[in-house]
Amino acid sequence: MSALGIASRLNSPSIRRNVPFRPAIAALLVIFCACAALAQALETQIFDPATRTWVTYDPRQAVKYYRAHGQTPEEFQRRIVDFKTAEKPGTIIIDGDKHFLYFVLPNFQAIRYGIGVGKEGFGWAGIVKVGRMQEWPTWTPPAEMVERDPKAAQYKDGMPGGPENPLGARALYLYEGNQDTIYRIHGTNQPWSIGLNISSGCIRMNNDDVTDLYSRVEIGAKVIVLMQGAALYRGV
Amino acid sequence: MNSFKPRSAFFMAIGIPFALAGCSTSSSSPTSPVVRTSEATAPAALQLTCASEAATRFAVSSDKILPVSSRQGDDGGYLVDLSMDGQQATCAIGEDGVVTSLERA
Repeated sequence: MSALGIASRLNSPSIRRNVPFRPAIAALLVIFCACAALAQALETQIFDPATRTWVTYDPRQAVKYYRAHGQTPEEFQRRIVDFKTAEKPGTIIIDGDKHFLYFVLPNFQAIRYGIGVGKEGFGWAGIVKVGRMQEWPTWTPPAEMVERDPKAAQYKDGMPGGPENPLGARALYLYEGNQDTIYRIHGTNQPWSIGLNISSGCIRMNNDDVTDLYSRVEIGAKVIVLMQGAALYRGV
Repeated sequence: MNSFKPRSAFFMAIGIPFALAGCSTSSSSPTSPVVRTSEATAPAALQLTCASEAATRFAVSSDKILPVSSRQGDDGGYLVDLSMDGQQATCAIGEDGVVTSLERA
């Protein structure tokens, strides 16, 4: 129920008969719920033709769809779209809410790719730049992952690039000034995960798309990341 | 016994290709989206148009302005909240990309 919904229920005569109405409590509820709504990352929904309803596109649904169709939903396929912006060609614009990455082209067009973004509490927004790029990057799991996951522990000194590597075929390292943000735009060994809030803050693309993007991007390219309810802001 | 007639053959020859064309057309052009976002936010291009307009109007560097949230208004346009170097502003923009209002919060 929305904050306004809770407030109106507290105001309704049927509730007031049994519960003494306290404006302060209602106000706090409204503020709490509004903040909770703002902090919550948006998610993808998929239309279920069997029930004719929209359902949450979670990892289970994503794997099911990918197995059935051999690809992600059409909206997440690479395409050229109209994109009126004052940002110059070569700029990368990430719409984390809709799970799209735009590469700005001349003449008010852009290439749109589907992406996966940070899970709840890991989403971020800001203005950064591409600091460096790498083909078939090495993946080094963070220390806490090495501690809790025996599979990750075997790669504590780095997993060589390859099809099983979670960073996939290419990585674009995002910098704030001259400092590595630790966030990357990279490929994936889980192509079904495009469209999800699933990462630890990195932007993931399928390997064909990140390879295409890599071939177009120049070091120093501006990257604008838009995400409602972001847990962190960088570069602004 | 054989009921096959030239006229039937003519209609089959004309009709079958049309029928097949009809099938292939309807199956290859989906009319509605398969996925959507749980809440309607403003398209990225419109959010950035608001940021660009705010940079000009408030004389703030465009690198210090970021759209932080957005929602659809009652008129079909969008309201975009901007963070501007520590300050806030709200921008109203139509689907056509025309900014109708821009105010500091």
